[in-house]
Amino acid sequence: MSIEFSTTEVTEALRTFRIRRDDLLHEDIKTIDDHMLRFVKFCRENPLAQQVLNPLLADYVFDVKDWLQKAGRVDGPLIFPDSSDEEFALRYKLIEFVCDSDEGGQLIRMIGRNRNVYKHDESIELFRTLIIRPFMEEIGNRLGKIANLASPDDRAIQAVPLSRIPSLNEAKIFLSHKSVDKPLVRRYYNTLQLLGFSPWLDESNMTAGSSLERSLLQGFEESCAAVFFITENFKDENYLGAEVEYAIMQKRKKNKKFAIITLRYSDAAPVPGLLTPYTYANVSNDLDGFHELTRALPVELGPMRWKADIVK
Amino acid sequence: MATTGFVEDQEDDDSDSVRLSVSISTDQGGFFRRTCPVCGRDFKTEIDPSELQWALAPLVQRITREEIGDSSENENNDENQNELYCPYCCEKILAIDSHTSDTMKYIKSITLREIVLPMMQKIFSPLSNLGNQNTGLVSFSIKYDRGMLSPRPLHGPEPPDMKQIQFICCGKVAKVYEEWHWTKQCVYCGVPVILS
Repeated sequence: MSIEFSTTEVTEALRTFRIRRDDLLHEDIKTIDDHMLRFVKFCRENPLAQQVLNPLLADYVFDVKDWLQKAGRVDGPLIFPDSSDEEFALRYKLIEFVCDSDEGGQLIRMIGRNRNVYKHDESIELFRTLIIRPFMEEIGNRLGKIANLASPDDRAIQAVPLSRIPSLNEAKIFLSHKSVDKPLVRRYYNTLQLLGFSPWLDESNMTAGSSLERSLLQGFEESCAAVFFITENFKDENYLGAEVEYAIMQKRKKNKKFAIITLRYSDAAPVPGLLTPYTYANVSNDLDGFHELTRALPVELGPMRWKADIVK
Repeated sequence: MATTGFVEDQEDDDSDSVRLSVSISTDQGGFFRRTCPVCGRDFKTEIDPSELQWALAPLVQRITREEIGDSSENENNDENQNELYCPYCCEKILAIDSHTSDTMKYIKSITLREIVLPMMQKIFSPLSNLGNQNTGLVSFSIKYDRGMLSPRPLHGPEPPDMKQIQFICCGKVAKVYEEWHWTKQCVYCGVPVILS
C-alpha cells in the first residue's frame, strides 16, 4: 500500500538518511557498530524507508546462515541473486544480520577470508565496500524515486524585472472611435478589461464636466497604445483628426513603449494617410480584430492562474 | 536524479592531469542545492551535466591545494569568478562559495580518496622500500602502510522541495523556500525583479 508523504517529511527523511549513510560509510571503522545500529534503526522506523524495504522483505525470505555457508565455500566474488530487488533485499538482511546476530562477526570474517584478508579492520572495510556501499547507492535511488512522488506539481511563479513592469499610469489602451461605433468598441473594452488590461474609453474614463480635450490628452498620456477603428462609418481624413495627432505625438515621445494600432473592418474606406506608417490590419470580425490588437500591444499579461473564487 | 561529470584537476605540470568522475545529485527538476555563504539559507539553481565540470573543477582544485598544503593560487581561475545573487539576502556571491556542506563534504571525500591519497602513495611508496637504513651517522626507519581505501562516497538523494521562480529577464529558473515571497533580484543576473 502506498503512503503519501508531505515534502517536509520527505526532506527530513532524506536528510536523516544521508547522515546515517555517510556516518556508516566514512566514520572511523572502530565506531561502525554504533553507526550500523543507528542506520538499521532508521530503516526499521522511518516510513519512507519502510515503504522501500517492506514489500521486498515480504517477497524475499532469506536464510542468511544458509547463504553464509554457501558463500563461504566459494573463493572469489560473492554470489548474489540475479534479480536486483532480491539482491537489494539480501544486502539489507546481511547488514541486519551483522547488526543483530552474534554470528555477524563470522560473516565479516568470511568476506575477508574469501579475499585473503585476515585483519579484522580490513575485513570490516571489505564488508563496507562490498555489501554496504552498493546497498546505500540502491536505497538512495529508491528513496529518491519515492520522494519525487511527494513533490508538488511543477509550478513556477514569475520574477519580472522591474524595468518590464509599467507604472499604473502608462499602460492604458486608448480606444479611439466615434459614437456611432460605440457598441463595437464597447465589446473590445469589456474583453480587454476582462483579461486584465486597462482600456481607456471616453464614457467610462471621463469624469462629468471635465474638458473633452484635456481628458483626451490625459488619456493618451497614460496610455501605451491607441487603437483606431476604421469601419464603414468612416467619413474622411478629418475623422478622429485630433486623436490621430495626439497619438502620433505620444509615439514620438514614447517610441517603442507606445503603439498606434489601426483596425480596418471590411467594406471600410482606406486607412487615413497619417496612420499608414503604423500598425494596421484588415479584419473581418471582432475576433480577428482582437487578435491583431493584442499582438501589436507593447504590453503583455502575466502567468495563468486560478480565479480567486475558484481557489479557497 | 544524479548528474555525472568529469572534473580534471590540473597539477603543476599541465600534461599531468587527473580525471575524476563525480556524480552529483539534483532533484527531479534538475535543480542543484546551494547555500548562501552570507545568510546561510539554501536555494537551488539549474545545473546542466555539461556545466558540472565547470562548476566543480575549481572546488576540486581548491580542496586539492588545501590538502597538499599548496598555497599558490590557480592561474586559470576565470571559472572561480562565476557569480550568483542570493534570493534571500540579495548579496552577490561566488558560485564556488555557495556549495552546501553536504556537497563540500562529498567533494572533499572524493578528492581525498581519488587524488590526494594516490598522490601521497606515489610520494611515500619509494621511501617505504628503503626500510631500515643506517648510514653510519643517522638511523631512520620508514614504515608506510597503504591500507584499504574507504568506500567511494555518495551524494544525495536530493529531495524535490522548494518552489520554483522563473526569472523572465534571463529565462532561467531557481528554487527558494516555499514560504519565501520577497526575492528582489534575479539569482543569475542580478536584475531587480518583482514576484508576480
